[in-house]
Amino acid sequence: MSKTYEVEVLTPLVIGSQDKLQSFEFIKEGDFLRVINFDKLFEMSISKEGLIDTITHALETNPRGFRLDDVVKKYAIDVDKCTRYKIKLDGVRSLPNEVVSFVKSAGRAYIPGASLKGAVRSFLTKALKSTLLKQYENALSSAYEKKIKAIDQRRNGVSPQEVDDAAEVNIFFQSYFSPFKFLQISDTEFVLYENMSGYEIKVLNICDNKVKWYNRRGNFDDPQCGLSIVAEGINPLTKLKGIIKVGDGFVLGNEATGGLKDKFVNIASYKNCIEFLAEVINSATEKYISSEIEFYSKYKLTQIVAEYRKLIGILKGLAPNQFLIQLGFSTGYYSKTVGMFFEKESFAKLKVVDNNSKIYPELFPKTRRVVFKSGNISTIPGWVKVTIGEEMLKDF
Amino acid sequence: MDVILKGKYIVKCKIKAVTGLHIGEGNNSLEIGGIDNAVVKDAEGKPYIPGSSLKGKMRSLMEFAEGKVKDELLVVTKGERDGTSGIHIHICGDEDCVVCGLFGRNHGKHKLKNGEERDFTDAVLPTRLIVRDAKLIKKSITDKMKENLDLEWTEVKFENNIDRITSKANPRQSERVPAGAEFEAEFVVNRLKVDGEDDGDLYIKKLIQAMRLLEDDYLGGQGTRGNGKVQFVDIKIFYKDRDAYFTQKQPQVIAEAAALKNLQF
Repeated sequence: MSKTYEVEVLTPLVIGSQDKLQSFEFIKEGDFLRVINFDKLFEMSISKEGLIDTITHALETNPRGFRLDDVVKKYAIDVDKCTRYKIKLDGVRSLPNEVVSFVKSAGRAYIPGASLKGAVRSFLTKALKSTLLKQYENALSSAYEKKIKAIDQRRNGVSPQEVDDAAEVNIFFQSYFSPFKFLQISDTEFVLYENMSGYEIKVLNICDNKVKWYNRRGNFDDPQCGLSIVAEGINPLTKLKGIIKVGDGFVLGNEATGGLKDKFVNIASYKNCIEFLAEVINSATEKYISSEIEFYSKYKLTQIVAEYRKLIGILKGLAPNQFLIQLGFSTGYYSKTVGMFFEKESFAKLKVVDNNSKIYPELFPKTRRVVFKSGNISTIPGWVKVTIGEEMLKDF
Repeated sequence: MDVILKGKYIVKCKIKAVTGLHIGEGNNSLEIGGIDNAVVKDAEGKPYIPGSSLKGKMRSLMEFAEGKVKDELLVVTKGERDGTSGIHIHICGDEDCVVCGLFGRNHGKHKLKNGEERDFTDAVLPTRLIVRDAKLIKKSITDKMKENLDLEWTEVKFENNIDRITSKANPRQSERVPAGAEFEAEFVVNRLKVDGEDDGDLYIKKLIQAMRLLEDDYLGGQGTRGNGKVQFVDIKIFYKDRDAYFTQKQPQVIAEAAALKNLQF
């Protein structure tokens, strides 16, 4: 039976689209970002002699120095007529030349069912029994051995995108037989632009046991020197609805698939598939947040520790049909993988398998992405509370 | 078998894509500058919902709802060499089977999933349900939406498959019709009298049930992760008895509703 789900955004949620907004597509107006429809601007400007030449010349010669607002003023263009949308910039100190664009359908932002389902799958994976989790480490070892052999033979050998395949198939079966066929999650309704903002994200990098802030020239003590990534995100407290269907086969299986029931430990007696799903995800969330609290406490990032403690408080007070999960952009390696359960030595293998990424086996991952507000550390992105509601309300 | 046409129920409605809709064209070849995983389009290049996609999905949902998905009730329509998968649908010889009665049976011999061979030709009747291709209602994709589309009527959606060990993303793209698009749909249910027994409104009611099941499921591809939530709106059900085809008699509207949830039928 279909039910509604409601996502309540707890910390800024960014789900990036494939495109980035370039500086020639937006204008900063005080605390607001105005995103321009460039095609429309061109259409409107056919009569304005020299405008197209000015823009193309500027973009060809000095794209970074190009300022759309100067052009708009010079040619007296009515920007309201060629504005896609406007969003607030929430405490953004430094606006780079490109902004990470939120995923949209025909210009309307939403949370894709695929993103939520992917996050659910990642968190369920983190909650697996240790014997099953071990299979991921084994898969990494096999990939490592294959890679070593390939290096000897001067071949590439292993694709870092396919290292988990054997473990995934063993645990969740081929897609045709997968229990995830019984889990349907729709896209959410669209988000109003008034519920979205531009958020500034910086990259924390632990160097020599100290907190540093990364930018392309190096790592700095002063966060203001750190690289600023600005991304469109959904504001905390925003609530969005969608439809979810969790078939009994998801947990109990059927003749084609075994279901997920016996793949986790410490799950209270089975009542229904929704409560089962929520309980499993929350058990993974608790482990993950605890390890993050340990990380941030070690480096005395008290604001983030306080944010995570708040999340733990919310987690403890959840009803049986609610879960806490992290999704989207800038949420990091542990959020998306089962890496938090790996032995230290496994990261040495990971470094060989994925030789294009910077992997420091003694501390991995040593970076985190943090949201800044008005120059201060604010929170971590991507946390949402999901409530699975009564039988489908037909208003969505 | 004695079969007489008593009349036709005609359901006219719109199908609204509540989330993006991907009905694949099934052509995996790549064109230069083309898009992976394209949606099916008509001769004018506009996406549409093939009647076969709608009918197939509704049949499948009804098979589950009517308890017909059992090895001894499924026939193999496309087998795989290893015998573990393949495509199975329900067909039987039971004259009271509402699934076969509404969606039809095929002539000839069938191989059942349990290995038996059966021929249901004796039970074959003219198929009661006809599902037309549903054409896109152009104005449902507004100018504002069109400004933001990647292609004339559709958008390109990107998804990533993330490796749970290395966190490397494996991106893929697919084309879809944006949420909000509407299609003009029509269903015809033939009311028959078979060996003196009149269908009455049994099969039109079963069609409405299948439509309700579809609203709570998905149409097209990638439906378990977002796509394909549809709603039936602006519904009108007409009835034309057989005499109407010989006279000037106009069809009667027997039920109408702005949305399926409000349909009293």
